[in-house]
Amino acid sequence: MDNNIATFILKSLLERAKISNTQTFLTSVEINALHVFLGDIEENIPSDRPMVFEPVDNFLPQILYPNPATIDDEHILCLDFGTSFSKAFACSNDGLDDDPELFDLSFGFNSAGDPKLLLPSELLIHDGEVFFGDAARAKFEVIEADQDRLIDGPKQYMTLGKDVSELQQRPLSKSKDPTGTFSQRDALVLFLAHLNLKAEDALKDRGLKLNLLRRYAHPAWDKNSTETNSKEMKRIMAEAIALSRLFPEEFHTHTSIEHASILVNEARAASDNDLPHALLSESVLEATAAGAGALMGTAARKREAYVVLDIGAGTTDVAGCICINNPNNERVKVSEVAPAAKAIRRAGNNLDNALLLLILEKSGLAPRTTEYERESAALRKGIRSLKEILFNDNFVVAELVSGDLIEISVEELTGTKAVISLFSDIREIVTDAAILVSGDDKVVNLVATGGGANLPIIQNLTDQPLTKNGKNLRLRLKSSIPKYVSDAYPNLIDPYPQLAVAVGGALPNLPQQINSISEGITDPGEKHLTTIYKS
Amino acid sequence: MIVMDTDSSSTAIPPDSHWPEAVMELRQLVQERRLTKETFNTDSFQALWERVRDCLNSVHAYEFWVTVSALGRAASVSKPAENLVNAVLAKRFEKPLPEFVNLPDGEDRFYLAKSLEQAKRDETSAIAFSQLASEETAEKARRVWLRLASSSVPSLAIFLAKLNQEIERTTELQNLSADSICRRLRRINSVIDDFLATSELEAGETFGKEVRWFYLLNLPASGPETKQLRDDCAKEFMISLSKLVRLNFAASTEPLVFEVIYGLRDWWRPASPSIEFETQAHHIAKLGVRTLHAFAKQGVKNKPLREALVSACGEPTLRRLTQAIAESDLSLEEGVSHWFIHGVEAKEIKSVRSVDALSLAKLDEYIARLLISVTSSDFDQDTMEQAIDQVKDIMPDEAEVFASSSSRIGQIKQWANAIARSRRISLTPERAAIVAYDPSVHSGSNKINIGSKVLVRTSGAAKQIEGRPSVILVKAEVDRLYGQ
Repeated sequence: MDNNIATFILKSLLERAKISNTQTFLTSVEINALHVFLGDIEENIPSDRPMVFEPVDNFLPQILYPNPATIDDEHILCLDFGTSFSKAFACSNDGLDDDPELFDLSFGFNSAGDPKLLLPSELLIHDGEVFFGDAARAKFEVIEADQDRLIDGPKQYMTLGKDVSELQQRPLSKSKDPTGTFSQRDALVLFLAHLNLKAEDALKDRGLKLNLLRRYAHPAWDKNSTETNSKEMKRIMAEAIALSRLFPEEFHTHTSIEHASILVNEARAASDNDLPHALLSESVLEATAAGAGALMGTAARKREAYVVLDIGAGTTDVAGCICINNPNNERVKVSEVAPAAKAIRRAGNNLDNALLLLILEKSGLAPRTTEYERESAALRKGIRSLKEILFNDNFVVAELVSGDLIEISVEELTGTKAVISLFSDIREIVTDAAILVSGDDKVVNLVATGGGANLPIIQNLTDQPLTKNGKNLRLRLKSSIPKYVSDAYPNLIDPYPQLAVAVGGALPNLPQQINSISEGITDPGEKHLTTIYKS
Repeated sequence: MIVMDTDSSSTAIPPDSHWPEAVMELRQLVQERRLTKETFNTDSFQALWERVRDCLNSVHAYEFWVTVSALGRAASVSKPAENLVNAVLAKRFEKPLPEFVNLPDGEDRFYLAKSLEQAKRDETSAIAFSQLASEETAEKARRVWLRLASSSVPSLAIFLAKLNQEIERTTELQNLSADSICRRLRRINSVIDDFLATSELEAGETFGKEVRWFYLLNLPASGPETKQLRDDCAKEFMISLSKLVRLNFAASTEPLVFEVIYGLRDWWRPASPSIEFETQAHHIAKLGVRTLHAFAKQGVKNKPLREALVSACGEPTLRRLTQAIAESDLSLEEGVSHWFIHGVEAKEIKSVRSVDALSLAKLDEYIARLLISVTSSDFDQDTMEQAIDQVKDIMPDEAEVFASSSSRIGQIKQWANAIARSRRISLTPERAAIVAYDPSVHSGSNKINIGSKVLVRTSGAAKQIEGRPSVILVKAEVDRLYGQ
């Protein structure tokens, strides 16, 4: 690299750094340019982060997995890459008039021999190896590692506000990757390769073909980054599929850090033509997949506004869209109201914590004592069940290790600062979204999904009108489960909010995503032609 | 005054027509209330009577019909007069009747109808339907014509078919406006609705079709132009339909009867009918749902009837009505019940294996926690009974309450154990046991060395699976033993 090129590169870097509000990450080319100016030779630059592993034990992978000759279009697979757990469902595609058949794709079996529907979205780097999913969780528990060690919820790297195309420049934190080998993008590719492999194993078990079209759900993105994020996400998915197909043995449970590093680097370097892009159907907005049942239920010849609220474990996401059901079209069309999309990093886990603290507070134990910590650890294991019972029965009785019983009412929990604040934030983002999508409508449909779909805030949102900037409107709750799914699969009704993205995303008649719009639809009023005088 | 009749089933009154003298004299007697039993025996009356009888054989149709009418009027005076008249008429009605001539006066037409009631002839049926459908017929006379018309048909369907044909014919002939047609139909309906609802005649195959024709197709599709008339007409028709569906089982099973509601509602499109209309529609639909339920109880899915009810009141209302009935009738077969509410066959219930597994795993955990709770030291029947023994002498009432609760403890434990056993869930290790610490099975404070002896403070629970290691559902809480 000569001085002119280095100068040019560093000017660009300076420009990028000026407009960036946060940290600016350097590309390898920029580092080389700096070396040119600093007079150092590349090899001598001290670094604790090897860029690429040299081939070891004759492991010389070649990433070449072009599009398969034939694609099975009789089934559709949807990969739901969730924050805490990932899921996959396949669905028959026999024509839009027939009710499709659902295939749950289980990720192996639990110790009782039952199929497992949930795959922990986790990675663990430990002792020279990278562990995936269940293996990561199991290893994490065996070594009793700190929570920081676990790469939990890699999906958060690509949520609202994130630029997926920049993830390669973002290394994992030292606590998660002490070797400094992997970027956030690498973590995504590795986990998605594992997820794809597990889903394809399940496809085989269900007697389905592997080369079927697959959809993948993605969260809402900023309008400016949607296009680049979509493109990058598709590329990441294609790399993940290629890796899992070419090197399945590396992605079953764990692989070495060296192999993982070489694989992700080679995959990243592969040309688009060498990756199976044809296996990827359209990407699906999570809100569209989650609210599929309600959106598909839009009345014929109607245009309706929807707000989809997904209260998960770690994040609460809200998205808005306008759905149009023109009977002349095969599928209902959905247009995202892009600015309505918002996310807050508070959700079900915050309720768990609030309930835990409330129980401990009522126990009378002094914080930071051994007893307190012990009760806290014991309660944490069953806190989700206690929360579920509390919201179902309006009260719950928790037993402490000491044998004491603590009764908590739902009013007590919802009266805590943490819960008031959480519900208030949820109400605010839902109000914003509803006002944005409403246009001239006075009523907006609300679709609640995720583990928090039955929380009291949902009832509260529909009971009381939403008011903002002098505008009032009401929310009307719509079920997220499609009618024929609830009729044919009654055991899916209760867990559906947690499975909504995977099931909805696999349905052949999923609403068709069309161009995003910036706000709800309003009547522009009458237009009059005015006289134009020409001199 | 001579009225020209425009009805083709009857002949117009000749311009030079007049009442025969004998008939005029007979009417005079009636008007002067001199037609008494004593008068019958007088020579003058016998002579008059002879002349009246001659009029019945007149070659002029008009004279015949006014004579029959006058005799009808005479018969209404007294029972002896009725006997006298009936004998004469019966004899005359054995022979063919001349062509019908519509009389100008309403009362005369009424008495004519009364007289014809006893004539069991084909000609009288045609006359009756014609008069029933006629614009000018007064209500009293129309009721008599109804009796005559209905007595000549084997079924309600044929009755309505003939009436509809007659209405259509006269409508075409007279070129009536929508409002006039409507008014006439209301008059006809007010006379026949009770009959339709309560008649013992069988319904006939095309009953529903004819009901629909009568209430809907006789009118122009857009309904009467006058708003008030449209409201009144729809309201009356709905009340009649309600009566018909309520009292006539055959009508309540006829889908086309319910489709009338949809047609009447259509008069208002794109606006909506009155609340009264919708209330009646709801009422009729409710009656229809009862019939639908009666079919469903026998395992019959009467699809056309359900579809007609949907057209009458809409799917959401129908679903509410059917749901309420289905919820109160557990005897309905499951598949039929689903169809009854939703109108479609219940889908084959499919299971999602992994979802079932998730639910069962959660259930197992709940059972495990229940088992741990009921075996805790403070939920012990013996302990409670000992306490009761100590206080029962000084607090007998309270002791009795606690004794009942104590028995319940035993029962709750019994069922909890039974549930746990059926799911192969058991306590392991049990409370107060001393075991070697294993973090995969035990949970303890601080760091305890694996394999060191610990005391079980709270039991854990596990599920036994044949041929596999047990699955830990709840870890036991353990305490470090001093000296370990």
